Order: sequence, then structure tokens, then C-alpha cells
Amino acid sequence: MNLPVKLENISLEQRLDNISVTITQPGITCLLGANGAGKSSLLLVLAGLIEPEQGKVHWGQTDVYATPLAVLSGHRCFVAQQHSIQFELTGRECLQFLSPCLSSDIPGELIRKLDIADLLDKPVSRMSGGELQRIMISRALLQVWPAIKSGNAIIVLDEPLQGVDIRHQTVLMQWLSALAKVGNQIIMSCHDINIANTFADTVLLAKAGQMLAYGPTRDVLTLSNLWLTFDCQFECLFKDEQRHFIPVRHATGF
Amino acid sequence: MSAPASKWTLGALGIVLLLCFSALLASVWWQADTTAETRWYILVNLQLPLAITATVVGAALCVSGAALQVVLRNPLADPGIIGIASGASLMAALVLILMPEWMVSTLHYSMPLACFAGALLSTAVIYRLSTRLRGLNTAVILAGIAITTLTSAVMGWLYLFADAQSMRNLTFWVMGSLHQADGWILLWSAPLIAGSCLLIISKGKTLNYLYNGELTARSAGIDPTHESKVVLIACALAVGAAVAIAGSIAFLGLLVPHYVRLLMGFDNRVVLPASALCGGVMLLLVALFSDLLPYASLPVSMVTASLGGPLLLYALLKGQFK
Repeated sequence: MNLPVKLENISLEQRLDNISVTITQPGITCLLGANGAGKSSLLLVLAGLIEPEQGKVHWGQTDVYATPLAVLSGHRCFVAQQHSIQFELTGRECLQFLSPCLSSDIPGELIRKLDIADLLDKPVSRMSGGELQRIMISRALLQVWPAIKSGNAIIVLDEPLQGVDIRHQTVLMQWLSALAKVGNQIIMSCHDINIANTFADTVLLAKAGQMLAYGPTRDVLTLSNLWLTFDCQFECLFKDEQRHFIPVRHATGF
Repeated sequence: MSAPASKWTLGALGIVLLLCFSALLASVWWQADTTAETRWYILVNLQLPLAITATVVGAALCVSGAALQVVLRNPLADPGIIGIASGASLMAALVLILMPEWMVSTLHYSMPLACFAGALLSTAVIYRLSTRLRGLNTAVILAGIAITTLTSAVMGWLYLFADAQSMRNLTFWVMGSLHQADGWILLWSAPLIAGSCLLIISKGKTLNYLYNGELTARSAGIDPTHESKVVLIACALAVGAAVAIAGSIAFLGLLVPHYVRLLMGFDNRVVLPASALCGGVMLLLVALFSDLLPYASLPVSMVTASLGGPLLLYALLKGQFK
């Protein structure tokens, strides 16, 4: 069970230009686009964290920018692209201090799926980028843990796979797929077209602050759309009826 | 540190504070050749204001330092280093030097007001700079150094035009002293400091959300802009009032929260009250030490800087500040 996330005529400081889209079905929606395409800005706007200059954001009947942040935070979480903790907090302290709903122990499922048991007592300054990313994803999920369990959460992730190794990427995406199946809405940006192709239910392609295409992954991820989005040629290989996109090496380089 | 352990530690710190406070009052009885009447007079008119000053000023500087470090996201922030205390000192100096003679009787009221104005003004400048130079962690410290340099320059000019009495008073603002406050100025300042400190301490849980910046705090349901402003204004009031009664005291607001975090972890619900208590204890010990010396009372900043400088260098060498 989840409500549609509806964006109407969103414009923001030359970063987003009149974007309208309704993400109806619960599942994983992947935002793809080149650097500076407006993916992060779009995620911030739909998460209720940056009010657009123009346009409205609704989660079901809820007008996001007319609702207090404390109310939104009960069932929406957000993972930023960059983290900057200036103090020597441990992984456990990050989870305890930054998640409002943590009243008892950290759920074992979260520790297992994100493989953070060894990170709980490690100071953030000694963590690698990928380890910190896993802690910050855990923090965000912990914030809406009751909503996730009841299939009501809106999980917004800005490049969550950045720095994360391939094994943890796969485990995380499989778990997010499972969470999406019970009704949670997962909206994320990434740069890996094959991850989007494998795990996303819908894909939104963005370019220069505008939306190029939105729809089911199989319909939107086409060679022509990828060319339009990235100005880069791909070829599509099939294996076991699964598509794989490989960038074509350009003779003179890109 | 677990919740019960934190409570016990805070309780123990409270008891240490009370013991130091009592010891400072009881030190009157160590003085030989004084009558009971004189001792009571010293106790009520000198030692009690001194003990209250040391407690509230130590608490104000340390709790403000701990809060500023989180709000400005810089472990090196301190009311002295980022220029809040020097802004307050400058305004106090301007009032001292430029106030016409017929207004001298209003000094009890005008001095704290001038200090608050100076502290608020420099806090506003620091806050504007920290929001405009977002991501440049050193910018706040550099801006503070610029403000401190500027206020020092103006103070230098004031020295040129000051008479002998004003120069002595100016020295008090620069070096800090726990012995200048009297009952009247404490009546104004102590409740204000206590209120500001309690407000800052009550924001402990909110400040925890600010450890990873504004976006994470907003995502967790906190309005970081509003909360930061509330905490900064409370810090400016507490520091302004502290400067009004004790002048400028160096390093305390940087070092006490740093070592509290080292010993008790990063939970601001513990760090803020523990810093307040430790700050009070530190200045009470300085006052006690100063009382035990046979000659003139020590300028507080001299003692805190003598302790703080080496400790700061040690912390830097050990890589405890990023």
C-alpha cells in the first residue's frame, strides 16, 4: 500500500524546469541522467526538503510543503549524496543520534542486510566512503522503520550506491526490491544503467533540468532514449532474456 | 556512555561543583587574624559573588562552546575564538571609554546591555558567514580571527585615548577577572545566564541531529535554521552576560567540551550539561587557587590560557581535531 507521489510543474532556480510526473505504483523508481541533469534537486524537492519556486508536490492527498517536517519525517527518509561529520562519532552514535524513532536496539535485519555489525563501534573518520554510505543508509531506514514494516514508507536515496562495493550493492538492491514489494515507495538516483535495468520498476530520465521520459523500465530504457539522455552510444546485449547495456567505445573518445 | 552511567556521572559532577563552591566560601575561615564579623562580611560581599560568578561564567562559556561547535559544525568553535566574546568586550570597552560622566550611574544596566549587543552582533556576523560559506569549515574560524583582530585593533586605539582608570578597566575586559562582579550586576546576569544555559541544554537532542548537517536534520523532521538561530541567540546572551561580569576568558569553551566528549561520548544530552558543570568546576578551582596565593588575584584568562594552550597543542598533535 502506498500513495502516489505527484509533482506538478516543478521549477527550481534554473536546476529544474517545469517537471510534472506522477509516480503511482509502489516499487523502485530510478532517476538516470548525466551530471547536472537535476536528479538531486528533483529528489530533494519530492522529499519535501527544498521548496520549489513554482509547482506543487503531493504524496497522496498530502500537500508536502504545507505539512510540518516532523510529520513528513515519520514516513519519508532521505539519504544525501554527500556526508560530512566533523566529529569522531561511531557508527552506532550516527544511528542513535540521527534517527528520531530509535527507542531500543538497532533491528537485526537492518544490521544484517547492510552488513554494519563491524561498523557500529568504528569512528566515521576511519570508515571508507562505502562503509559510511551504508551507515547513512541504515540511519535513514531506521528513521522510518515502523513505516517500512507496514509498507508505508517513502524512501528517497540520492546515489545510494556511491562508493559501495558490488556485493553490498547487490544485497542492498535485492533488499530494497523486497521492501518495495510490500508497498514501500523507493525513489533513487544512480549512474549504473544496468542496476536500474535489473532492479527498477520505473525509470525517469532527466536532462538539463527537464524530464525526458518516465515509465516502466523496459519501455523507457531504450538505446535511443539513452543516447538522448547521455549523448553516448550504448549497445544492448541479451543473456537469458535479460538486457545488458554496454557503452560503445567511441573512436575519438567522448 | 550508557544512559544510567551518564546520569551517575552528571550527578557526581554536580556534587563536585557543590564541593568546590562550598570550599571557595569556606576559604574565608582559612584566613588568620580576622574577626567573625569580618569573615561574614567577606563571605557575603566578596566570596559569594565570586563563587556565583565563577559558576555561571564557567557554565555559560562551556555550554555555549559545546553548542557552537555543533551548530557551526566546527570542533574548534569557541566563544572566544570565533569572536563572540571579543565583540562583547569591545562594546563594553566602548561604553567604558565613551560614556559621558552623567551616565556613569547607569553602568550596571548599560554594561550588560552593551555586552549583549556586542555578542549578538558578532554572532550574527559569524552566522551569516557560516551560512554563506557553507562547506568551508575553516571559514568560521577565519571569520572569528578577523573579528577578534578587528576588535583588538579598536581596543588598541581606545587605549591611546583612555585615562589611567579607564585603562585599568580595559585591562579587566581583556584579561578577565572573577572579582569585579558585584551583587547588582549578578542580579541581572546570573538569571539570564542560567536561563540561556537551560535553554541550550534543553536543545541537546535537537543538536544531535545537526551532526551530519542541515539536510539530514531536515530529513529527520527538524528545522535546522530555526533551531540554530535559537541556540545561537541563547549562546550570545549567555556569553554577553558572562563577559559583562567577568570580561573575556580564553580557551575554556573550546577545551572543556572537547575533553567532555573524549570522556563521555558525543550525545549532546550529556555533553551540554556535563560541559556546564565542568566549566563551573574549572573556574571555581581557578578562583580557589587564586585565593590561596598570598599576593594579588590572578587574571583568569592568564590561568585558562596557560592550561588551555598546551592542552590544545596536545589535542592537535594527537589528531583529536580534524
